[in-house]
Amino acid sequence: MTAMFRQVAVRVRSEFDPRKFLKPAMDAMRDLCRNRFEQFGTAGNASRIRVVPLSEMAKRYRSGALDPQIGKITAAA
Amino acid sequence: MARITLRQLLDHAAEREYGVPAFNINNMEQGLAIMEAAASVDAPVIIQASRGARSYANDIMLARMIDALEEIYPQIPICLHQDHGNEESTCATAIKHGFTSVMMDGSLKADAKTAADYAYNVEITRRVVELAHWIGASVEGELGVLGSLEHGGGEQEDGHGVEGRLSRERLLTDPDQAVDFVHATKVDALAIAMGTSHGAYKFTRKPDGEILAMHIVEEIHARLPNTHLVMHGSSSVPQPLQDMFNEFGGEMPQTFGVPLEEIVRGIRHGVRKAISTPIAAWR
Repeated sequence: MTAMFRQVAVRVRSEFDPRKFLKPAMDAMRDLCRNRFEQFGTAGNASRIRVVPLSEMAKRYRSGALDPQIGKITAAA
Repeated sequence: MARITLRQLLDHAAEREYGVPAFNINNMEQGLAIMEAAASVDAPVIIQASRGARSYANDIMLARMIDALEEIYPQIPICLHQDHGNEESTCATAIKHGFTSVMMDGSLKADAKTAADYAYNVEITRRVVELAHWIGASVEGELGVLGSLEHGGGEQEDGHGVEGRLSRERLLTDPDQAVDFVHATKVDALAIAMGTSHGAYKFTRKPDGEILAMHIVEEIHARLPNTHLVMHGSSSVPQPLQDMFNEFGGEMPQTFGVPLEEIVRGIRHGVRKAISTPIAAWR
Protein backbone atom coordinates (compact mmCIF):
# COMPACT_ATOMS: atom_id res chain seq x y z
CA MET A 1 0.00 0.00 0.00
CA THR A 2 3.00 2.15 0.61
CA ALA A 3 3.66 3.37 -2.95
CA MET A 4 0.19 4.93 -3.04
CA PHE A 5 0.63 6.37 0.47
CA ARG A 6 3.79 8.11 -0.64
CA GLN A 7 2.10 9.53 -3.70
CA VAL A 8 -0.80 10.99 -1.69
CA ALA A 9 1.53 12.31 1.00
CA VAL A 10 3.68 14.16 -1.53
CA ARG A 11 0.97 15.36 -3.90
CA VAL A 12 -1.64 16.46 -1.37
CA ARG A 13 0.39 17.82 1.49
CA SER A 14 -2.63 19.05 3.45
CA GLU A 15 -4.29 15.61 3.44
CA PHE A 16 -4.77 14.07 6.89
CA ASP A 17 -7.75 11.71 6.45
CA PRO A 18 -6.36 8.12 6.45
CA ARG A 19 -9.16 7.01 4.13
CA LYS A 20 -7.79 9.31 1.43
CA PHE A 21 -4.55 7.35 1.62
CA LEU A 22 -6.16 3.93 1.88
CA LYS A 23 -8.79 4.19 -0.84
CA PRO A 24 -6.37 4.68 -3.76
CA ALA A 25 -4.21 1.89 -2.32
CA MET A 26 -7.24 -0.44 -2.22
CA ASP A 27 -8.16 0.45 -5.79
CA ALA A 28 -4.62 -0.32 -6.98
CA MET A 29 -4.66 -3.66 -5.15
CA ARG A 30 -8.03 -4.57 -6.57
CA ASP A 31 -6.80 -3.97 -10.10
CA LEU A 32 -3.63 -6.02 -9.55
CA CYS A 33 -5.63 -8.89 -8.06
CA ARG A 34 -8.10 -8.82 -10.94
CA ASN A 35 -5.22 -9.01 -13.43
CA ARG A 36 -3.86 -12.10 -11.70
CA PHE A 37 -7.27 -13.83 -11.69
CA GLU A 38 -7.47 -13.23 -15.42
CA GLN A 39 -3.85 -14.15 -16.19
CA PHE A 40 -4.00 -17.42 -14.23
CA GLY A 41 -7.37 -18.50 -15.66
CA THR A 42 -9.03 -18.32 -12.22
CA ALA A 43 -11.70 -15.93 -13.49
CA GLY A 44 -15.05 -17.51 -14.29
CA ASN A 45 -14.58 -20.49 -11.98
CA ALA A 46 -16.20 -19.42 -8.68
CA SER A 47 -19.71 -20.17 -9.91
CA ARG A 48 -18.64 -23.62 -11.16
CA ILE A 49 -17.70 -24.79 -7.65
CA ARG A 50 -20.06 -26.33 -5.13
CA VAL A 51 -18.20 -26.15 -1.83
CA VAL A 52 -17.70 -29.43 0.03
CA PRO A 53 -17.81 -28.83 3.81
CA LEU A 54 -14.94 -29.84 6.11
CA SER A 55 -16.93 -32.71 7.61
CA GLU A 56 -17.39 -34.28 4.17
CA MET A 57 -13.72 -33.73 3.33
CA ALA A 58 -12.81 -35.50 6.58
CA LYS A 59 -14.90 -38.53 5.54
CA ARG A 60 -13.19 -38.62 2.15
CA TYR A 61 -9.75 -38.58 3.77
CA ARG A 62 -10.78 -41.33 6.15
CA SER A 63 -11.99 -43.50 3.27
CA GLY A 64 -8.64 -43.12 1.48
CA ALA A 65 -10.31 -41.50 -1.53
CA LEU A 66 -7.96 -38.51 -1.35
CA ASP A 67 -4.70 -40.41 -0.81
CA PRO A 68 -1.89 -39.45 -3.18
CA GLN A 69 -1.91 -41.69 -6.27
CA ILE A 70 1.81 -41.94 -6.73
CA GLY A 71 2.57 -45.63 -7.21
CA LYS A 72 0.05 -46.11 -9.97
CA ILE A 73 1.02 -42.94 -11.82
CA THR A 74 4.78 -43.44 -11.69
CA ALA A 75 4.41 -47.08 -12.74
CA ALA A 76 2.42 -45.97 -15.77
CA ALA A 77 4.81 -43.13 -16.62
CA MET B 1 -21.27 -19.19 2.96
CA ALA B 2 -18.49 -20.67 1.01
CA ARG B 3 -15.36 -21.57 2.96
CA ILE B 4 -13.53 -24.00 0.72
CA THR B 5 -10.53 -26.21 1.44
CA LEU B 6 -7.32 -25.81 -0.52
CA ARG B 7 -7.61 -29.42 -1.64
CA GLN B 8 -11.04 -29.04 -3.19
CA LEU B 9 -10.13 -25.75 -4.82
CA LEU B 10 -6.88 -27.04 -6.32
CA ASP B 11 -8.52 -30.29 -7.45
CA HIS B 12 -10.95 -28.11 -9.37
CA ALA B 13 -8.12 -25.97 -10.72
CA ALA B 14 -6.26 -29.09 -11.88
CA GLU B 15 -9.35 -30.50 -13.56
CA ARG B 16 -9.93 -27.27 -15.45
CA GLU B 17 -6.21 -26.42 -15.82
CA TYR B 18 -6.03 -23.05 -14.15
CA GLY B 19 -4.00 -21.57 -11.30
CA VAL B 20 -5.09 -19.68 -8.21
CA PRO B 21 -3.17 -16.65 -6.95
CA ALA B 22 -2.77 -16.52 -3.17
CA PHE B 23 -2.80 -13.13 -1.52
CA ASN B 24 -1.48 -12.35 1.93
CA ILE B 25 -3.66 -10.29 4.19
CA ASN B 26 -3.07 -8.24 7.33
CA ASN B 27 -5.96 -5.82 7.39
CA MET B 28 -9.50 -5.03 6.30
CA GLU B 29 -8.55 -2.95 3.28
CA GLN B 30 -6.63 -5.81 1.67
CA GLY B 31 -9.53 -8.19 2.26
CA LEU B 32 -12.05 -5.85 0.68
CA ALA B 33 -9.79 -5.23 -2.32
CA ILE B 34 -9.20 -8.95 -2.98
CA MET B 35 -12.89 -9.76 -2.73
CA GLU B 36 -13.98 -6.87 -4.91
CA ALA B 37 -11.57 -8.11 -7.59
CA ALA B 38 -12.72 -11.73 -7.22
CA ALA B 39 -16.40 -10.85 -7.40
CA SER B 40 -15.86 -8.73 -10.51
CA VAL B 41 -14.48 -11.70 -12.46
CA ASP B 42 -16.17 -14.67 -10.69
CA ALA B 43 -12.91 -16.06 -9.26
CA PRO B 44 -12.46 -18.27 -6.18
CA VAL B 45 -9.80 -16.92 -3.80
CA ILE B 46 -6.99 -18.05 -1.54
CA ILE B 47 -6.44 -15.59 1.29
CA GLN B 48 -3.46 -16.42 3.43
CA ALA B 49 -2.15 -15.13 6.72
CA SER B 50 1.38 -15.48 8.01
CA ARG B 51 2.24 -15.83 11.67
CA GLY B 52 3.18 -12.15 11.57
CA ALA B 53 -0.26 -11.25 10.22
CA ARG B 54 -1.98 -13.28 12.91
CA SER B 55 -0.12 -11.51 15.68
CA TYR B 56 -0.51 -8.09 14.02
CA ALA B 57 -4.26 -8.30 13.45
CA ASN B 58 -5.05 -10.70 16.32
CA ASP B 59 -6.50 -14.16 15.54
CA ILE B 60 -10.00 -13.19 16.57
CA MET B 61 -10.04 -10.01 14.48
CA LEU B 62 -8.67 -11.90 11.49
CA ALA B 63 -11.22 -14.68 11.83
CA ARG B 64 -14.12 -12.23 12.06
CA MET B 65 -12.86 -10.28 9.06
CA ILE B 66 -12.94 -13.41 6.94
CA ASP B 67 -16.43 -14.21 8.27
CA ALA B 68 -17.50 -10.74 7.18
CA LEU B 69 -15.97 -11.09 3.70
CA GLU B 70 -17.76 -14.40 3.33
CA GLU B 71 -21.06 -12.81 4.30
CA ILE B 72 -20.57 -9.87 1.93
CA TYR B 73 -19.58 -12.15 -0.98
CA PRO B 74 -21.45 -15.45 -0.41
CA GLN B 75 -21.00 -16.43 -4.08
CA ILE B 76 -17.17 -16.49 -3.88
CA PRO B 77 -15.48 -19.60 -2.42
CA ILE B 78 -12.78 -18.47 0.04
CA CYS B 79 -9.88 -20.66 1.12
CA LEU B 80 -8.28 -19.30 4.29
CA HIS B 81 -4.73 -20.63 4.46
CA GLN B 82 -1.95 -20.45 7.07
CA ASP B 83 1.20 -19.32 5.29
CA HIS B 84 4.46 -20.95 6.47
CA GLY B 85 3.36 -22.69 9.64
CA ASN B 86 6.53 -23.34 11.65
CA GLU B 87 5.28 -26.03 14.04
CA GLU B 88 2.25 -28.13 14.91
CA SER B 89 0.65 -25.63 17.30
CA THR B 90 0.65 -22.86 14.69
CA CYS B 91 -1.28 -25.12 12.34
CA ALA B 92 -3.66 -26.45 15.00
CA THR B 93 -4.61 -22.98 16.26
CA ALA B 94 -5.10 -21.74 12.68
CA ILE B 95 -7.65 -24.49 12.06
CA LYS B 96 -9.35 -23.59 15.33
CA HIS B 97 -9.77 -20.03 14.00
CA GLY B 98 -11.44 -21.09 10.77
CA PHE B 99 -8.51 -21.74 8.44
CA THR B 100 -9.40 -24.50 5.98
CA SER B 101 -5.80 -25.09 4.99
CA VAL B 102 -2.39 -24.89 6.59
CA MET B 103 1.15 -24.91 5.39
CA MET B 104 3.53 -26.93 7.53
CA ASP B 105 6.92 -25.69 6.42
CA GLY B 106 9.21 -28.36 7.80
CA SER B 107 12.04 -27.31 5.50
CA LEU B 108 12.99 -25.05 8.40
CA LYS B 109 12.98 -25.81 12.10
CA ALA B 110 10.46 -24.17 14.45
CA ASP B 111 12.64 -21.04 14.73
CA ALA B 112 11.88 -20.48 11.00
CA LYS B 113 15.57 -19.75 10.42
CA THR B 114 17.50 -23.00 10.58
CA ALA B 115 17.39 -25.41 7.65
CA ALA B 116 15.97 -28.75 8.85
CA ASP B 117 16.95 -32.20 7.66
CA TYR B 118 14.71 -34.39 5.52
CA ALA B 119 13.71 -36.79 8.30
CA TYR B 120 12.56 -33.90 10.50
CA ASN B 121 10.52 -32.45 7.64
CA VAL B 122 8.79 -35.75 6.86
CA GLU B 123 7.96 -36.46 10.48
CA ILE B 124 6.49 -33.08 11.44
CA THR B 125 4.61 -32.71 8.16
CA ARG B 126 3.15 -36.19 8.50
CA ARG B 127 1.87 -35.38 11.99
CA VAL B 128 0.21 -32.14 10.84
CA VAL B 129 -1.40 -33.91 7.87
CA GLU B 130 -2.84 -36.53 10.18
CA LEU B 131 -4.36 -33.92 12.47
CA ALA B 132 -5.67 -31.66 9.69
CA HIS B 133 -7.23 -34.50 7.73
CA TRP B 134 -9.16 -35.71 10.79
CA ILE B 135 -10.93 -32.35 10.60
CA GLY B 136 -11.06 -32.18 6.80
CA ALA B 137 -8.57 -29.32 6.41
CA SER B 138 -5.80 -29.38 3.81
CA VAL B 139 -2.03 -29.29 4.20
CA GLU B 140 0.69 -27.82 2.03
CA GLY B 141 4.21 -29.08 2.68
CA GLU B 142 7.51 -27.70 1.52
CA LEU B 143 10.51 -29.56 0.22
CA GLY B 144 13.76 -27.71 -0.47
CA VAL B 145 14.65 -24.40 1.09
CA LEU B 146 13.52 -21.13 -0.50
CA GLY B 147 16.47 -18.95 -1.29
CA SER B 148 18.39 -17.21 -4.00
CA LEU B 149 20.54 -19.16 -6.45
CA GLU B 150 22.36 -15.88 -7.08
CA HIS B 151 23.96 -15.71 -3.65
CA GLY B 152 22.90 -18.94 -1.92
CA GLY B 153 20.96 -17.23 0.84
CA GLY B 154 17.39 -16.85 1.96
CA GLU B 155 15.65 -13.62 2.68
CA GLN B 156 13.70 -12.92 5.82
CA GLU B 157 10.06 -12.00 5.46
CA ASP B 158 7.89 -11.55 8.51
CA GLY B 159 10.68 -13.21 10.49
CA HIS B 160 10.61 -16.25 8.19
CA GLY B 161 13.43 -17.41 5.98
CA VAL B 162 16.67 -19.32 6.20
CA GLU B 163 19.73 -17.64 7.69
CA GLY B 164 23.22 -18.29 6.37
CA ARG B 165 24.29 -19.75 3.05
CA LEU B 166 23.20 -23.03 1.50
CA SER B 167 24.43 -25.07 -1.44
CA ARG B 168 22.58 -24.93 -4.75
CA GLU B 169 21.49 -28.50 -4.12
CA ARG B 170 19.58 -27.61 -0.97
CA LEU B 171 17.93 -24.63 -2.66
CA LEU B 172 16.36 -26.84 -5.31
CA THR B 173 13.76 -29.51 -4.67
CA ASP B 174 14.94 -32.97 -5.71
CA PRO B 175 12.24 -34.54 -7.90
CA ASP B 176 12.78 -38.11 -6.66
CA GLN B 177 12.74 -36.98 -3.05
CA ALA B 178 9.48 -35.14 -3.79
CA VAL B 179 7.83 -38.45 -4.71
CA ASP B 180 9.03 -40.02 -1.48
CA PHE B 181 7.93 -36.99 0.56
CA VAL B 182 4.40 -36.89 -0.84
CA HIS B 183 4.04 -40.63 -0.34
CA ALA B 184 5.29 -40.47 3.26
CA THR B 185 3.31 -37.41 4.36
CA LYS B 186 0.14 -37.45 2.19
CA VAL B 187 0.26 -33.68 1.75
CA ASP B 188 -2.39 -32.16 -0.49
CA ALA B 189 -0.04 -29.63 -2.04
CA LEU B 190 3.72 -29.24 -2.25
CA ALA B 191 5.69 -26.01 -2.24
CA ILE B 192 8.89 -26.47 -4.18
CA ALA B 193 12.15 -24.55 -4.21
CA MET B 194 13.43 -23.44 -7.59
CA GLY B 195 15.41 -20.30 -6.83
CA THR B 196 12.63 -18.00 -5.64
CA SER B 197 12.96 -16.29 -2.29
CA HIS B 198 10.84 -14.39 0.17
CA GLY B 199 10.27 -10.68 0.37
CA ALA B 200 10.52 -7.88 -2.14
CA TYR B 201 14.11 -8.37 -3.32
CA LYS B 202 14.35 -11.56 -5.31
CA PHE B 203 16.56 -11.19 -8.32
CA THR B 204 19.09 -8.51 -9.17
CA ARG B 205 18.59 -9.16 -12.87
CA LYS B 206 15.75 -10.49 -15.01
CA PRO B 207 15.87 -14.18 -14.05
CA ASP B 208 17.10 -16.81 -16.50
CA GLY B 209 17.52 -20.58 -16.20
CA GLU B 210 20.65 -20.17 -14.09
CA ILE B 211 18.84 -18.45 -11.22
CA LEU B 212 15.24 -19.57 -11.77
CA ALA B 213 15.08 -23.33 -12.23
CA MET B 214 11.75 -23.77 -13.97
CA HIS B 215 12.78 -27.22 -15.21
CA ILE B 216 12.38 -28.43 -11.61
CA VAL B 217 8.64 -27.74 -11.84
CA GLU B 218 8.38 -29.75 -15.01
CA GLU B 219 10.37 -32.69 -13.64
CA ILE B 220 8.34 -32.89 -10.45
CA HIS B 221 5.04 -32.60 -12.26
CA ALA B 222 6.04 -35.45 -14.54
CA ARG B 223 6.63 -37.67 -11.51
CA LEU B 224 3.68 -36.42 -9.45
CA PRO B 225 0.99 -35.48 -11.95
CA ASN B 226 -1.75 -35.50 -9.30
CA THR B 227 0.02 -33.41 -6.66
CA HIS B 228 -0.72 -29.71 -6.61
CA LEU B 229 2.48 -27.68 -6.82
CA VAL B 230 2.85 -24.34 -5.10
CA MET B 231 5.16 -21.56 -6.21
CA HIS B 232 6.36 -19.37 -3.36
CA GLY B 233 8.29 -16.18 -3.80
CA SER B 234 6.38 -15.43 -6.98
CA SER B 235 4.92 -12.22 -5.66
CA SER B 236 6.52 -9.18 -7.18
CA VAL B 237 6.77 -5.44 -7.03
CA PRO B 238 5.18 -4.25 -10.27
CA GLN B 239 7.61 -1.92 -12.07
CA PRO B 240 5.20 1.07 -12.14
CA LEU B 241 4.86 0.78 -8.36
CA GLN B 242 8.62 0.55 -7.86
CA ASP B 243 8.90 3.70 -9.94
CA MET B 244 6.12 5.43 -8.03
CA PHE B 245 7.61 4.40 -4.70
CA ASN B 246 10.92 5.99 -5.61
CA GLU B 247 9.43 9.01 -7.37
CA PHE B 248 7.70 10.02 -4.16
CA GLY B 249 10.66 9.85 -1.83
CA GLY B 250 11.15 6.11 -1.32
CA GLU B 251 14.42 4.26 -1.73
CA MET B 252 13.72 0.81 -3.15
CA PRO B 253 16.59 -0.81 -5.05
CA GLN B 254 15.70 -2.19 -8.49
CA THR B 255 14.31 -5.69 -8.06
CA PHE B 256 12.98 -8.33 -10.44
CA GLY B 257 10.22 -10.78 -9.54
CA VAL B 258 9.36 -14.04 -11.27
CA PRO B 259 8.20 -13.00 -14.76
CA LEU B 260 4.50 -13.55 -15.32
CA GLU B 261 5.16 -15.77 -18.35
CA GLU B 262 7.20 -18.14 -16.15
CA ILE B 263 4.35 -18.43 -13.65
CA VAL B 264 1.91 -19.12 -16.48
CA ARG B 265 4.35 -21.73 -17.84
CA GLY B 266 4.36 -23.25 -14.35
CA ILE B 267 0.56 -23.42 -14.39
CA ARG B 268 0.81 -25.55 -17.54
CA HIS B 269 3.07 -27.91 -15.54
CA GLY B 270 1.12 -28.48 -12.36
CA VAL B 271 1.55 -25.23 -10.44
CA ARG B 272 -1.90 -24.59 -9.00
CA LYS B 273 -1.17 -21.97 -6.36
CA ALA B 274 1.21 -19.05 -6.75
CA ILE B 275 1.82 -16.48 -4.05
CA SER B 276 0.96 -13.23 -5.80
CA THR B 277 0.88 -10.56 -3.12
CA PRO B 278 1.61 -7.29 -4.94
CA ILE B 279 4.31 -5.85 -2.70
CA ALA B 280 4.39 -2.04 -2.37
CA ALA B 281 0.81 -1.90 -3.54
CA TRP B 282 0.27 -3.98 -0.49
CA ARG B 283 2.57 -3.05 2.30
